Amino acid sequence: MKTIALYSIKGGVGKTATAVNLAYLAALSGAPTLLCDLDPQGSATFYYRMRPAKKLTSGKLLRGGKQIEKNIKESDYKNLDVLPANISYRKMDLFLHSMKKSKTRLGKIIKPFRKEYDYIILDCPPNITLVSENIFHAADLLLVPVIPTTLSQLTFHKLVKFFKKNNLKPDIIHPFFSMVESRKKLHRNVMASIEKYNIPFLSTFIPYLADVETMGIHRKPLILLKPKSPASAAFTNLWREVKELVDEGKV
Amino acid sequence: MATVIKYNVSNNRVASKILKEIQPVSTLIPESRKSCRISYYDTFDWRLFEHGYYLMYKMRTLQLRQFKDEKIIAEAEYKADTQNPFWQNIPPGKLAKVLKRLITIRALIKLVEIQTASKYYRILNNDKKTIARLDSSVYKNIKDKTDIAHLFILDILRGYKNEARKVISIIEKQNVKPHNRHILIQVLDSIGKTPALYISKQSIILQPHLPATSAIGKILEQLFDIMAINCEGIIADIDTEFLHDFRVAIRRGRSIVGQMKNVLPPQITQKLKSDLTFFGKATNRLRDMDVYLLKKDQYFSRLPKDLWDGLLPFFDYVSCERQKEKKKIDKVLTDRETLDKITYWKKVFTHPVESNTRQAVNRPILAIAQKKILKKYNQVIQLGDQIDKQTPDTKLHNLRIVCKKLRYLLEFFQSLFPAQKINRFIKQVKFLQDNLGDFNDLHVQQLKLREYLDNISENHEQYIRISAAIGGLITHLHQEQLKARNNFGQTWRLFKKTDFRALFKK
Repeated sequence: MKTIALYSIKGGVGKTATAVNLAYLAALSGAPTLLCDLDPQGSATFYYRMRPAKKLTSGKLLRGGKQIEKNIKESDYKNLDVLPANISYRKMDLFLHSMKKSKTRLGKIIKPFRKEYDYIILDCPPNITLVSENIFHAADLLLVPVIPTTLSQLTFHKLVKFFKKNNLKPDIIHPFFSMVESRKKLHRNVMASIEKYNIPFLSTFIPYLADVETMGIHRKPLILLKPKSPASAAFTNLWREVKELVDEGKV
Repeated sequence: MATVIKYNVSNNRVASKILKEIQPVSTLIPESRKSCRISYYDTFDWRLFEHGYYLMYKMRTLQLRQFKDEKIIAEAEYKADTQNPFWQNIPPGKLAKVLKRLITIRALIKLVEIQTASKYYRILNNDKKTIARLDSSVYKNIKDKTDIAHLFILDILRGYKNEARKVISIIEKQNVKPHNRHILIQVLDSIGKTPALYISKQSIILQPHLPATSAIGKILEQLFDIMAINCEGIIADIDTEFLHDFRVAIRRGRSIVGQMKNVLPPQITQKLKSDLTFFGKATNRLRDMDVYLLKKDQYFSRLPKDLWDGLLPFFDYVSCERQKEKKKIDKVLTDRETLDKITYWKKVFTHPVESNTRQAVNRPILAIAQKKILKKYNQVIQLGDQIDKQTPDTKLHNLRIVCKKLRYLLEFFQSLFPAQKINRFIKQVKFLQDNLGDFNDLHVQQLKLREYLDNISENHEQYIRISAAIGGLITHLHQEQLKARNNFGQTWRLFKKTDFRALFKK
């Protein structure tokens, strides 16, 4: 079982859209998959036509076990289950601070689900907090969407620095360009300077397209909604790259 | 986990009513419909059912599934071109391998063929999220086009049990209750078939105080039942076990009649003996030929490849003889007079046999069983103890016959004794009998092969090759016979290790 986290310090970079589509693609490949919506906004939950898990508060989530099991819901698609979000996740940091082994708690509560699922995909909230540190410890693969802009570049550097400072393994970080507008010179320039990064980017990038936003109207993964959209093709390629990393044992 | 609830909906009218009532409460979306033909197979003696499996054929695929959870154990693409396939007729692979273990030499028989018409629906909540899937399937018997069952299978998605309660209550309001009866059992029930332990494997339950005549009558009634139910399979030539079971029933019948001379009236004993002998004699040669054909692979494997072509004429001869014999048996078994014999005896033993005035008749069966078993047991011990390496083969043959009689007695009367002990003893007797049986079979096979060789003309164009092959085979069988003879000593010591005589003393 592999835990794949969609994470970025910055919000609005395409984490949820990627998590929703990758989870669908993983399940489509025949692998039992669980999508955990850890973002209190609950967008991934909404995309899969589910309601927030009313009773699964931060405290209960962090206790793990049956509380989580009870709240997992089967999606409309074969092999794909979802753990819906709860608004109280915004206070998850507070709970973690009061707990022992506060940096590895999330990894511990995910562990029992390794038998049931081949992939656990985490849709993470933005920011860099104790919750984020938990995600870094729990994930086998940290997929980081980066918009090819100066601000996004800055936040990505901050993340790499944080990893170094806290003795975390940077090998799990796999950035990729997201919301790319090829007609913009800035985007093209940032993407051309890819070599500057010490951490290699995945070769797939996700284009900025209105198609992706229609997911909110139809509440379906884009792959199903608009299979011919270039964004669908990009998500499919991204999944292929991720799968290769997993199959080759690089994560 | 997802929850699956099965409902047996009584008819189409109730089904439509339920679907209509679900619609305003939750959105019901028709997804697809499918219809297919399904055939179910098992052996005559329900070997698959006995192991908790069933075999179904649909869309050119044979699937072996587990009854308890429908899990597919093995499957294979298959052209249903053989009416009663053996495991050898299944394409090589896992399914053939598993069937070989389960059904061994028995053929598969088509139990029933049905037609299913299924409609699939999705049930949605207010967010248009699927909360359950509904499969509404009608099962029809292909033969007479009658409806067998209408099932609703409600598959509630994980996490939506509460939301699906409304749907459940709509269904159950129509007096439809969840049921877990397997559809195959329901289908078989509709055509009057009940999967059960095969009659020849069932031991008759006797009460210790039952008068001896009644007890023996019950045993004989069952033996004639076995003979009767196997006739059809012998004539249809489905597999060799029909004839084998038919003959075992004859042998057991002859054995009990012979050993219980004083219990049945003499005129019955005499007539019964003669009828059983008639059936035995009529089927002897066909069984011999069957045995050779069953041993065909073994025979070839005993010889070097160079000699195989010398063995082919022998098997051609066996196949030819078998055909001739089969025709004779068909005549016998379809003859009114023969059938009347079986029906007559079944009728005689259905009611308590009128006893003669002899004392043995009214004695309780337990006392007689104890006496007879003990007598045979002592006889086995006496004969076996006399055997050493120099003892002539005839003594081993005698011991084999007595041993067989003892085994039959134990099997007939096992319900009268403590189950664990009697089963252990039967196992012990069987162990000894296997050794003696092997010794005898190997001896008979050599004799028959020599007979065949003696009848081959020296002018036969393959005379030398046939002689070499048959000669090689006889030598091999002789070596095996010597081995069985040498093993007797150890088998006998193990047989005598535990003395069960106390079990049969009053």
